[in-house]
Amino acid sequence: MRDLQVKYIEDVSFEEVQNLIDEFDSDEFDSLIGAIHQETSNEVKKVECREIISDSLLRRPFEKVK
Amino acid sequence: MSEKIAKEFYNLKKKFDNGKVYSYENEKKEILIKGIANSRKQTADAFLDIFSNLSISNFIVEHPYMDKDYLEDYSNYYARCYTNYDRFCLRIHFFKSEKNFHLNDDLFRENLIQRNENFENELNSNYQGFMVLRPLGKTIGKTCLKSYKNDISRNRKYYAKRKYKVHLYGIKLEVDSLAFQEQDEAVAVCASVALWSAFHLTGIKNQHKIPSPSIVTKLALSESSYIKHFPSTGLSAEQIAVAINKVGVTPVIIRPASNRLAKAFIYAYLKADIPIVCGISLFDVNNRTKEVVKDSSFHAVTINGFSFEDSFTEVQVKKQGISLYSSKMTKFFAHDDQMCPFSRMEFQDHIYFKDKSKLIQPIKTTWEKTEVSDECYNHKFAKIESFIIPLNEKIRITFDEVFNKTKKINNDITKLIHILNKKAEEKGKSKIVLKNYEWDIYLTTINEFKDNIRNNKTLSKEEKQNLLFKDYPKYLWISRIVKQENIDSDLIVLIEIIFDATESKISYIKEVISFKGSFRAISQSGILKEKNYG
Repeated sequence: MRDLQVKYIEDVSFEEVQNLIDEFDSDEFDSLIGAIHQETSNEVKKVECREIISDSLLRRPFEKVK
Repeated sequence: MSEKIAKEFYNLKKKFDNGKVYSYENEKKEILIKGIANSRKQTADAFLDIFSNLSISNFIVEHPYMDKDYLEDYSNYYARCYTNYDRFCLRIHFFKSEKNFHLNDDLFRENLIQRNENFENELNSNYQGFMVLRPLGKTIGKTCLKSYKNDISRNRKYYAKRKYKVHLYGIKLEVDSLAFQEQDEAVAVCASVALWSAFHLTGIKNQHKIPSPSIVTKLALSESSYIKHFPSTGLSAEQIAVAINKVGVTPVIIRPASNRLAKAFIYAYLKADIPIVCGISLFDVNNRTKEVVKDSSFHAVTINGFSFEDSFTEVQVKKQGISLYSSKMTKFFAHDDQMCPFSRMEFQDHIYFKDKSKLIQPIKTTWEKTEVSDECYNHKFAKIESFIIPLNEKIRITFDEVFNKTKKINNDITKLIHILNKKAEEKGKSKIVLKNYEWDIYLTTINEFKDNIRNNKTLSKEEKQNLLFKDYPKYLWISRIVKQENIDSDLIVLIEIIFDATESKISYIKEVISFKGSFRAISQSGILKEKNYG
């Protein structure tokens, strides 16, 4: 059961979110966004999705399964 | 001489009349399977299973049949052998029955001679594909059997396939498949055949010639002057990449860092109907000690589908950063030239086996064990060693770049929602949370993208029109936040972020589509501004 005091973001209207944004002073909000971006670039590290393929693996032939 | 080499093939030819409709049962079924599998139990079992799943009720044997691929292999190799190899193949066509349609010999002959459009439509809708048998020791040539139906409840989908036009004594038939064939140890072993299957799709998508397996071997070895072409001893990933380059497509070789990322790669590229040549090592495992007991074989297959059956949502952990929708993948399907088309491989996410000092996260295969020990599992396990992906040269952005960009965007959006939530609390309003969501990252084409926009039921008419009339590059990377209550329920898309896949560097967001009002406000807040993602 969902807590009545908690709403999932997808259930919130455009106006509700916009009203919350409007609660901030426009300069204040811009600097908040800037701070988020700055934090993200410091926090989020690049993930290597692939391992380096060694030359021996690259050159090992795919053969008949024994 | 050739009689000795392909005894089963000639027996089969003698036992079936050209053009006669046979019922797939009892004695005929046994003769057919024996002819196909040539006393290899594993292959026989695999095809019995496939024919049963395709509900095959009848088959027609067409002979003599000239197969283009075999003829090319014949002229490249067999014609120059002392042994008198046959040039002609036979082709078997498979049909299922329906409530109002039961194929039999009289019905077929009557409607073959006297054109009947209704009959041809019925025949076509019950056509399950064909198989060419070559007059060699190992017999299965070009085979296009229908994939099992896409199963929405199990989220089983086959992406890498195309339409094949077939002419049966003048009747036009069609089958949706990806060509499969068994390895031919003389001219093309697993890697050449896996690549040949992949070329059947890339050839159509990128307008290149589809070479026969022996030509694939020649292309792959064209830069390796120290290796003789035939008999074929296997190709390396590097040589596969050479063949891909020679037909005018760009190869990308990847060694995924984990099974989680292997799933993400498979999902992302298959969604764009791009087949993946997958290098695997196959091994037996001791059931008691959980140790790899036999030196592994190095094998290549062509991945063409996947399933999310019995899956669960990935728990979001800090190290991984984002939950991936693709992590729900539990199986993938591949053409395995020593097994069968659409062979099943299952990820074993919570099991590790010991291989000397390393731990392996295995994939369960349908290969029977080769070790005689009773202590071993009955089937072999696999480990993904590499993916070789044939891409259109215009696709320059890779999955890795989109994945890392998505992590940043996810971080920004969640932080903004956190700030808005705090403000809501201050004002005594309901808390706002972004929970139980996943990121769905995949490659697509402009046509597919616009087709999805047209089918969308959430966007307004005006929004749809604006998106449809807009120009986009041919290839797009999509990164979207999705929610799914359970595996059977509809996927709810909250926001879709689109990148130009043809750029040289992932520098900016091409488009943001918000499917929910709240996300429209978030995207207009400036949090996704492109200058911040450079």
